[in-house]
Amino acid sequence: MRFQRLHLERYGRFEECTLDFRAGTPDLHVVYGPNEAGKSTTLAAVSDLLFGFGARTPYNFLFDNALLRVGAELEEDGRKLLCRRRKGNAATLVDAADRAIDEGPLLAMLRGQTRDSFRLAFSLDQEGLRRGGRAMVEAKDDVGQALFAAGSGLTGVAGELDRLNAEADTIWGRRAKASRSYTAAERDWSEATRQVRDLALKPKAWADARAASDTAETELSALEAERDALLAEQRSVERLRRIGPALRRREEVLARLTQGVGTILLSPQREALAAVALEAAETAERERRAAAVLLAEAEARAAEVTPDAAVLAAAEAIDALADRRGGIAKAGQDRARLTIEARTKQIRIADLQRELGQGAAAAPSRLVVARLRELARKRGEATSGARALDQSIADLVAREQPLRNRLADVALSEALPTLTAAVDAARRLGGDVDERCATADRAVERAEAGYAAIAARLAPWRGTANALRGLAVLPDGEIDIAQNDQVRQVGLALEEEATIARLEEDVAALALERDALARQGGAISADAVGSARGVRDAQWRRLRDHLSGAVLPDPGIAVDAFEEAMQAADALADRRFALAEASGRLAELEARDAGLRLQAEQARQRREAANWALAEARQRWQMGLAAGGLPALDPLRLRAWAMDRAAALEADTAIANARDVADSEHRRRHEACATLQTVLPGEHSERLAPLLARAEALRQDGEARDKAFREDRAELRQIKTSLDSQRRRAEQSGADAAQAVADWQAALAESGLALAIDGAEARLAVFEELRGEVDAAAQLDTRLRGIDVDADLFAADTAALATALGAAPTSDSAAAIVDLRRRLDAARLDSVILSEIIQERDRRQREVDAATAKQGAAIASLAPALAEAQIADKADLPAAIEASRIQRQLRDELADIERQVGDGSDSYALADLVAAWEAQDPDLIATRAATLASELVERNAAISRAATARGDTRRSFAALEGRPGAAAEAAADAEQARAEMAVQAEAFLLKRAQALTLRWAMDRYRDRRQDPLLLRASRLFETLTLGRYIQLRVDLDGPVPRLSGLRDDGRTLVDIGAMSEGTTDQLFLALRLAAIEQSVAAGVRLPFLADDLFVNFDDARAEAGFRVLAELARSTQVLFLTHHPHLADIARCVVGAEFHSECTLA
Amino acid sequence: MTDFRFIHAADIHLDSPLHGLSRYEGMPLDEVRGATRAAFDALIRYAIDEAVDFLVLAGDLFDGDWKDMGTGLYFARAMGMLDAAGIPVFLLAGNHDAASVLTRSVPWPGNVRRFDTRRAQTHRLEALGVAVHGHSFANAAVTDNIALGYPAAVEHHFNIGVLHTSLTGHPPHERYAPCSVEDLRAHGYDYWALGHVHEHEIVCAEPPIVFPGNLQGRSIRETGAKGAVLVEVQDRSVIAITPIELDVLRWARAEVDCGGAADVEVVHGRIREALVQAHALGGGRPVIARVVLRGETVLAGMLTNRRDALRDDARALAAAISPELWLEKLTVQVREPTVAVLVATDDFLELLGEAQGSAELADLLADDLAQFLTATAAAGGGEEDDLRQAAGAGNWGPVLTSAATALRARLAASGEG
Repeated sequence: MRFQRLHLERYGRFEECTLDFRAGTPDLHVVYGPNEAGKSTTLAAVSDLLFGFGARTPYNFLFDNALLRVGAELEEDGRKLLCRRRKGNAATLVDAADRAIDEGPLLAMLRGQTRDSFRLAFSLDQEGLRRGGRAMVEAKDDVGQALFAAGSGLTGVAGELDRLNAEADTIWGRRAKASRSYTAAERDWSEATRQVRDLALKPKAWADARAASDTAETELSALEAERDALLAEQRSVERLRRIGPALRRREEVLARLTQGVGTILLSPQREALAAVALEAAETAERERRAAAVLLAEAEARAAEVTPDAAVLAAAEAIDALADRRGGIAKAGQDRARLTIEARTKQIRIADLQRELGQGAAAAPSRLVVARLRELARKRGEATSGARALDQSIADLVAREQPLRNRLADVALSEALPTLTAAVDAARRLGGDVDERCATADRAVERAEAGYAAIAARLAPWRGTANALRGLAVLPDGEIDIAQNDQVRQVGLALEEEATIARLEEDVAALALERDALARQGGAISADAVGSARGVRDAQWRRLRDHLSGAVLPDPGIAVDAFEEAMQAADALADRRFALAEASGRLAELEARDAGLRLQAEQARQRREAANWALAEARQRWQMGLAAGGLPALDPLRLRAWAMDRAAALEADTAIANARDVADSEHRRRHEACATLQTVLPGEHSERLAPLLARAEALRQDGEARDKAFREDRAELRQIKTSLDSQRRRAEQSGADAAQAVADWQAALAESGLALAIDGAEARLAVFEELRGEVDAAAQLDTRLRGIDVDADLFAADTAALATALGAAPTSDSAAAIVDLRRRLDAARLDSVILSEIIQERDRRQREVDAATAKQGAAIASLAPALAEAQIADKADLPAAIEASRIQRQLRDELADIERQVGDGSDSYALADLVAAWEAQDPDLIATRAATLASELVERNAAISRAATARGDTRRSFAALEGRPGAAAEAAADAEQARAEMAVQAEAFLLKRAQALTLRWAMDRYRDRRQDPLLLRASRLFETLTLGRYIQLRVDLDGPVPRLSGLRDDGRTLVDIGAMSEGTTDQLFLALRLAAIEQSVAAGVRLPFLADDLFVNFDDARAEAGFRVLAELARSTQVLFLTHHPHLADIARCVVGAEFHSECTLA
Repeated sequence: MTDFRFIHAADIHLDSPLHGLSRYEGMPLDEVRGATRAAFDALIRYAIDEAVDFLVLAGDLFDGDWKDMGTGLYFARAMGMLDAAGIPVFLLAGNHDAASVLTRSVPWPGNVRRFDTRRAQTHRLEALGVAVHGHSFANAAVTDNIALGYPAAVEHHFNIGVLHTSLTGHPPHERYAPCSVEDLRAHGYDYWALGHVHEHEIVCAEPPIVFPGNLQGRSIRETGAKGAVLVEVQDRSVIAITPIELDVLRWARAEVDCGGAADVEVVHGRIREALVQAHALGGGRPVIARVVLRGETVLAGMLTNRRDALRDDARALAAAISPELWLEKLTVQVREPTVAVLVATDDFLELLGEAQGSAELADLLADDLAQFLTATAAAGGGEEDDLRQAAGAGNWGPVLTSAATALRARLAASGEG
């Protein structure tokens, strides 16, 4: 089956894309599409067309599923099938009108192939090739695996076998491993089963344990009853022993109570109050006595102290005088220093007066001096300002003159604007205008050279371009028809030539066979017998002629010759008969020989006919060309010539265009040059650059001069303005100085001073200082007089006070004051001591009064107690209180004893207990108590043992049941584990069976296909490796047959593992193509889809690859999809341009 | 004559584990482990809540080989609860009970009346006018027709015959105490309470001869609702026999027809539909389902090869339908469509086809897997459709067919690189 046309109507990104595959040998077609053009889509479309769309298709991104269509024209053995495929669940094969058609014819063409088997067996891409190469290496020279992988296209087969075994190994293995899933489940199962066994409660164990528990319970109960009886008795004995002492003490207390009958019983509160009152009365008496003693002592000390009242009265006056004494002393010290200062001032005043001379007496006032100093300063400022301005004016006048001279001399160019305009215009043309003109010229030359080269290719035709343009144009279709016609005739002739050669080879082979048969002597050909018989008949004719009259010169010899010929002929005929089989074979060979020769002759005739037809077609073609003025070329060359003609005409047009460009450039440059030359007299040049450089220099010079002229003119204007201004300011300063002198004179006249204005400042300063010194001397004098007055007043006050206080008169005021102060301090101390003594005396008096009051109150509070005790004197009261207290204690003790008896009575009545105690025998009780204790110890030990035993049996019994339902849960777990074991075992069985089946299938494959496959693959491998390997060999010595390659030296065997990556790829390709050839030979003649194979091959190897594909394409269709243009070129080289078929995806 | 109601139950198999259920994430272990106890608890609770007049247990209280006294005590405690509620129990030993040591060791409370193993025995409830006849199994294999030895009906009483029997045969149940319906009818009893067959069945309407079925399904062979029957009697006549559903987990088969499916998504969809139906059969109870893939599909190879992954898919689908729907197992029994191979090419497809019938390969498999089959005997011999059962029986054809089918899909997939 082959594709005549593939129509991608609506599929992926394709819409109405048609690929046509021309018929013919080799049936190899290159489908070229740039990257992303949709090669993969095309391949998918082929599968979807042949086998139907998959449930999910990625090719519906442009058209909805319902719109997807892919169609084809299929062809097989002359039958054609036009079909289209739509996406759907049923009836997806449709005709042009979308009507469902029978899939039968298509299925018949597919020969039972499925989508998967077709993909694996009839398509190969570069990645698949690489994967195949790796598969070869992974097969580790194992022929079975290698052949199976290559033959089936199942490149992952070795890995798949390993994976199957590995997957099976994770489930189960001959040796248990914890990681295996079956083993893990089995371990869970064993563990759960063990738990069932361990956790299950055995019925007998349960019954035994229950019986043991019951027995222990009974024993314990009996012992506990005995112990309870003993305990009751012990309690009775212990009670009597416990209350005995209390009952004895009770008797004693009752006796003492009887003795105290008649005692007046005071209440406890009364007793306590009376005791407290007695105590308080005694304490108060003690305190009163102590306070009286201290009071007397204080009064005595107060009488001994008397302070000086007169001095105390004059205390303030004494203190005031003491304060003043410090000031007076300080003033005395200051007086000496001030006296010296006053004398110094007087000396300075005299100096200054001397300096001023006569005018000293009339010193001007402070205001006058200030006014005069201001005027002197103003005049000074005005005078110095006028001097500075005069200097500045002189400088400006000096700068003005040279400027005027320069401006008068300057010469300016008037042609500058014209020059600038010309330069700007030339510049706008561009700095590279000369270069551009040269380039345009060269372009014209190149175009002309190009035209000449192409025109040379047009030989034998000669002529101008216009003549060429006038020639007739043959349409492509016409050329195709003529070419196809001739090609067909050439093909026919070649085919017949091949037939002739084959037939001649066959004839030669037959001749060899015949010779061999003849050489064996086993066969006599009919010719040989005929020829012997001819000899015999000739001899006979001579004899017959002799017998009928013609005389033989020697009849005897003739008879001998006849007999010899007759015997020879008979012998040959006999032998031929005897060797009939060999002879028959010879006859058959001869017949075949004749037949072959006839066929050869017929083939020659057909070849001649084809040659004649070819000649005729060529002549027809030549005439047609001559009529159109075209050169006499065959169609193929004419097609090339026509392309050259188109190129020549295009080149001619290019020349015209280049010339236009060059003319335009030249014209514009010429114009610019002419403009420049008008402003550059004397300068001449074809090129623009030198003229432009010269004009540029001129323009820069003119512009510099113009600028200098403008700057000088501006400066001159500035100097003039400055001169005017400074002259005005000099006049103003002169006026200010004159005004100051006039004001000075007026002021002098007012003050009456005679003072020149120049140097007046120093004299005015001396006037100022003199006034200051006179003022200071007057102040010092006033101060000295004040000090003397204060000292006299102090001495008078001191003497008056001392006299008043009775002190001896003295002239030393300071000593008098010290004496008075000492007397005042003593009087003040005495006064303080007396005041403290009086305070203590008053406090003691208050203490005596308080103690007396407390004593009275205490005695008054004793009255109720005395009345209750029926006594008058409080001294008898303590004895009565004591008697009452003893009586009450006895009563309390009795109540306490009876309560104790009650506590230990075990609720028996007191009377009963007293009776029982009185009736008892103490010795017997003690003995029984001792016996009872030992008996109880013994019983308790027995009970403890029995209780332990009972606890043990109870625990054992309880433990037997364990966790309720635990065994059942374990049984459930065991069942779950067993279910998992079953699942895992099932999975293992399937995987192991798959692995074994795969291994078996590989071995079968090798057994059946090894020899023919390797024979063919050897040849292909040799081609693909460019002869580096000449054969594939199988080494049968090892445990598995191993595949290796024989190198071109005929000796070296190379393991697959040692081959380069490219070589293993080629090995896979060789085996793969050999397998496809076998499938094709067996009748599965489906197209082989090569998807961008050879992209990693160098050109030589890619060429070899195309050679083997071309060979395959003699038996089945090969579609080679690629996005590499160079591969398409290589394919064209390999099959020849005339047989090359190529279409483009668009 | 008094009106009364009683419960007839049988085949409790207390603490017998559920079979064939692999553990997986999300499965409620406690519910699975305690299923038979929970169903039994439901029976006891029902009897007490409904205050039935008595309970008839027609054999197989325990599994024969189950020796945990804890199970017996649990049973006895339940009987004690009925005793406290004043409900008498008539208890007949079946083939499993005869083999069980528990039956002999359990401390039965006073309300339990057991039947003699040596001869047929009659217990009476005079207050209700009821006579209950029964003959316990003395040993695990009773092949005599012991029904013939049952006593004549007691006059003016409602007569109940209790018998553990397979009648004339109920495959796959083993043949015990064989007897015919006629044998039973001949006694003139008013009701025959049978046990042994795990499917509920009213064998005869007049008089009612009834199998109540077992209390709780324990494997995929026991699908559908399970429980006991409530029998209502009025004037010595049975006026109603009402099945009571007491099971706590229910088993269901989800048959999935993969016929014509060309995409695994389609198969998933059909599995989901089948699981939804199976879940509906649970009537609100948790359901354990077995998914069986059948039919003729181009996916046969892939489905056979990916059965582990499919099991996980089906578990996920079940979990998505309901958290109370769990997968017991997924079995793949699909076939590939027959393709007419028009041309013999010796290619691998054909070789795999050939492998299915190869005696040589079968021998190879038998040799290779002998040790495996012996070593994994503990997992059981496999069910009817399991490859292991075929392999164990030396029938390697199905194994090779599955292997070749799976291999074909696997190799085709691996060729894609």
